[in-house]
Amino acid sequence: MRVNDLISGALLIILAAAMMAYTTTFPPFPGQKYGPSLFPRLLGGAIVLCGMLLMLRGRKQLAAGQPLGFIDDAYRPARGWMSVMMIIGAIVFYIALSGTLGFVVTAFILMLALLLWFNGKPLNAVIIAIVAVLAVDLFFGWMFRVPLPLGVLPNGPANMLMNLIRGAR
Amino acid sequence: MAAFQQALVLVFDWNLMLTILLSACFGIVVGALPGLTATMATALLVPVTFFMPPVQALAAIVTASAMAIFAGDIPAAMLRMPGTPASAAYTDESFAMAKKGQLDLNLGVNLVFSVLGGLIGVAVLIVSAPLLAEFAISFSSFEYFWLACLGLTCAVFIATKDPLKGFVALFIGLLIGCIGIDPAAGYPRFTFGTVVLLEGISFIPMMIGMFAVSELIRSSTTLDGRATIISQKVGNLFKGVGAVWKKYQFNFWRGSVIGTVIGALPGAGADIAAWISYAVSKKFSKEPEKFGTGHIEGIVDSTSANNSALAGAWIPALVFGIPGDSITAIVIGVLFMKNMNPGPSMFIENAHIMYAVFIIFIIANLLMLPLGWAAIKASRHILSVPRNILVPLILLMCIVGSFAITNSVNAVVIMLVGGLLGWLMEENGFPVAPVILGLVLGEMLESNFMTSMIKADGSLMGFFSRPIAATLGVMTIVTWVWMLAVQMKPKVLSDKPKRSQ
Repeated sequence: MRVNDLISGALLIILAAAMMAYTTTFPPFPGQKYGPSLFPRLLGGAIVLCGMLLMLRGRKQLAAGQPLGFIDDAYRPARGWMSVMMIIGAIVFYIALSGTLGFVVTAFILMLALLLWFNGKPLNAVIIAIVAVLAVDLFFGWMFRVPLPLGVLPNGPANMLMNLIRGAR
Repeated sequence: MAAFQQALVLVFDWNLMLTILLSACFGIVVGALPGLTATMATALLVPVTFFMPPVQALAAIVTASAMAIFAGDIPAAMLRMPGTPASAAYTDESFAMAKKGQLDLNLGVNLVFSVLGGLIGVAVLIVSAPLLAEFAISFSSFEYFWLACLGLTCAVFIATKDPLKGFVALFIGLLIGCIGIDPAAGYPRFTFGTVVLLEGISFIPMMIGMFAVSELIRSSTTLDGRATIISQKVGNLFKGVGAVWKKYQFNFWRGSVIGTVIGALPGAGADIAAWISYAVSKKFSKEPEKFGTGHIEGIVDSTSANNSALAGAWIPALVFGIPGDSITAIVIGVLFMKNMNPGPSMFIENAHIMYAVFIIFIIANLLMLPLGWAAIKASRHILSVPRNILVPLILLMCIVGSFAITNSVNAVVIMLVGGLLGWLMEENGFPVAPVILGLVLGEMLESNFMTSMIKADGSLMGFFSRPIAATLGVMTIVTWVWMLAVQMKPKVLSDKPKRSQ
């Protein structure tokens, strides 16, 4: 999705203005003339300047016949933008559900869906998803002790695997 | 010398050797796969280095990035697709050689001259960094403030096609850096009353989002499975390389020197070094008409340059804490995370770590010879991994890697925001590397600025009261004024999205 510089410039000016308005709530630095608001305000000024330069440029582009915004060819076909949505959706899915379902289940569903969408071979997808999730769980969860959410599988497959190995010894 | 011995003990440890070997393999695979860049290799490696001691973490990054820059040459010759943007300058030339039946010679030259170029860059790093550090030890907040300004300005100016959009990206990065406790007064800024934002925006998830997730979103539309590989068997790689060395020795030295210098300039990295040295080679060649038809001369220059640039970029990063390219920007973030503030004092307080980094650099470049040879021999298998399987795998690594930094799902949210922001920005011609530079350097810039303001009691003349500070300040301001003047002049602009290294 591409927009004319007129729009990006205007957005930047709005962002900078909102940010500078927020800095008025910052307290002064006790005993000094300058407080925590000085640096963000200078930045805000610089962003406004850039935004205005961009808007000037955008006006010229508009006059030269460039549209206000358009979508790249790669994203036009349904499959193109659906692929983009799959990637974004997968991350949103993880953010929303990993806490309740746990890492292993969430990651497995996520991998399975992405592999089916991009690769399409069901057997491959199941095998790769299982191996990948187990490998990540083993590497990060067990080796580095990252507290990956356990959710519905309170023991964690990597832990179970390691316990089995320890038990066998 | 005691520090040097300490460094040797640090380096020759089997744990570290294993780290170097594994990250070398990782770097080669990521570098050899088109679409996955050296910066992405580093970004994906950082969550793992989070759990390592400093030297081991730096070793992993040094090795993986060096290998990735070389490995990018392999698909350039075989598929006409650069593995990393650093190989883009001579991709057509390499492919033309392969079509002429000179694939072996091309890959052999790429391998040998990458190793040698890398070693030249390391030699310059080893000699110049401690000298510069001695000079920089007397710098005060005024010098650092101007140095950071000048470095960031150069970064935007050299590395981006469109400096105005580059500056916007830089300011956005600096603004994101303002979120959280401010460095001077300790007041929580832009937190909207939440506890989550008190710590600021975590740099690693943001970087993974901007460098890796945005790339995944972009490439998701063009996953056409396997690429067709040139059907040529790889034979003896080193045959004929000696003759090339004899004939084009001067090109090698020139390419390595240009590469190191460009690498050391803030913001410009291996890809720009390769483009410039290729252009220089063509301009001063005795047979410029042969360029583009599968001629080895320009490849000698540029393949040496991109590997030497990698080491060159570490010079300003270690001495001043100002990154030379996007990989060293990540390195500086990692150093801050390990409570090692880059700067001249590192060479006194942590001299053994500096020496260890130098030794690792040499080892990594020497290791490139056997591992690179093996990678070329195995390239058929590496290049046939379908990308439509890689994308989900990399996404999973991004999510878990981000999560591991803060042990909370908030980091994944930051990663997603970074990914979307990075994607939309690149679509519209805004480069993303300056955002990361701004985020990494924001705190240093602001605290030096505030310290200087307080020291000078608000008088702007204070910023010019010391000779070096005054020189740097004048240089910076001249650059700004000149850039504004150029901006005002109307010109035709191309809006093609630019890729980061």
